[in-house]
Amino acid sequence: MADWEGGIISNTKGPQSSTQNTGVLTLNDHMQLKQAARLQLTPIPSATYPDNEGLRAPITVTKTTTTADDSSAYQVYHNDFDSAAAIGTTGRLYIAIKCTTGNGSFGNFYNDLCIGGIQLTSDDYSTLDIGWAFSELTDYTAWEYATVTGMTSAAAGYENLDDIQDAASQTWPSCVAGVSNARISRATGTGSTLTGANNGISTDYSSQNAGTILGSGDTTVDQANNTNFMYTESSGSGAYMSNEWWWIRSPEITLNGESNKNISISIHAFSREALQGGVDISMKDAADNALLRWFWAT
Amino acid sequence: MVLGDIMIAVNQISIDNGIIDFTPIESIAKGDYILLYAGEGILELESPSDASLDTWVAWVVNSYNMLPNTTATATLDGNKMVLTANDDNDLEIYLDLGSL
Repeated sequence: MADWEGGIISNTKGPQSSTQNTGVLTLNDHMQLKQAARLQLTPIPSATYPDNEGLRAPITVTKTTTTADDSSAYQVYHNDFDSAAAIGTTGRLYIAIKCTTGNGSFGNFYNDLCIGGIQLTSDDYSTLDIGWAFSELTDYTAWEYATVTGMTSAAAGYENLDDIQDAASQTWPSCVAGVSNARISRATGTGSTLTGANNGISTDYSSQNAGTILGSGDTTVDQANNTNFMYTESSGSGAYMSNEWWWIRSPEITLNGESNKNISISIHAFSREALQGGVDISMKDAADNALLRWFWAT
Repeated sequence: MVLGDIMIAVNQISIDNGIIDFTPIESIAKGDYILLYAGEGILELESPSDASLDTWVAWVVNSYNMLPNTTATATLDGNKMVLTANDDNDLEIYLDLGSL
């Protein structure tokens, strides 16, 4: 049987040279169309996981009336990373953190969300692919932050991955040690009462050190004395940063090719219990108002 | 607003019974920022220049006392800001320090 079909007169316009009559396909043209149709049946691998809107890490925000920085344990978010790993073995993690505090007289300063560390492990938690503990300075400076976020101006924020990547004049320098408003910062303790952690987590959770794995049963991890964390420094009564996003991304990672991955993120969310004018001005997290989302992009 | 080579954290500032001790702050730079809530008053200041700590604390105290409708009064004690009020509930203090 011939591997082409008859009917070279088509009622749809195909690829033509200037010498061809409309609706008349050469055999070669016809075969090209058939091949293109076959190719369309093959899904084109997405370069982003899970999608342009990311995956929310549900976070329990501890509301407080205690002014001091909080010393309670970080909560550990776990998620299956398999699908992301299957997309490609080299890429970056992206994280978007939203300023969900109110913008009344107290401004935005209850939104110091802290990240102690991030790990990628095998799904049985036996192998650590890579672990960052942000008290380890080089773990922190290996990550990069978006310089164009809209948080310091009247410009709109950038909610999704395409938005932040395509922002005009966007750059991604290494995270800067120290503290600056509206920028991902690194500290032990924060400049604000009623929000933020007192310390980070042990540097043992870094690949550079012991590489201790946060297992599936580890839903919390204690703070370690005199350690630093990565956090979203938010200050001031300016309304700009409310409902906008800090963005960070990992260094480029080459996974080991096994599509059995888990991700864990150690998060500390501590915020003032407060209403102002009937409006909750504390940091918050909800399905339709995600405080932290993550992405994988090749 | 630094302590050594790091930004000051509020856990290094003693806040007790209406007294805020700013002594650990080693330097004040232009752009350093304070937001202080006490006695129903909200004070937000950004330092217009580098300053010595005692000058800066005096400026904060004087600025606080210029706020309308506060229920507390601030006085200066060295590098400490001392707030007094008729009701202890008015001595609840929230503080945000940083650099804008």
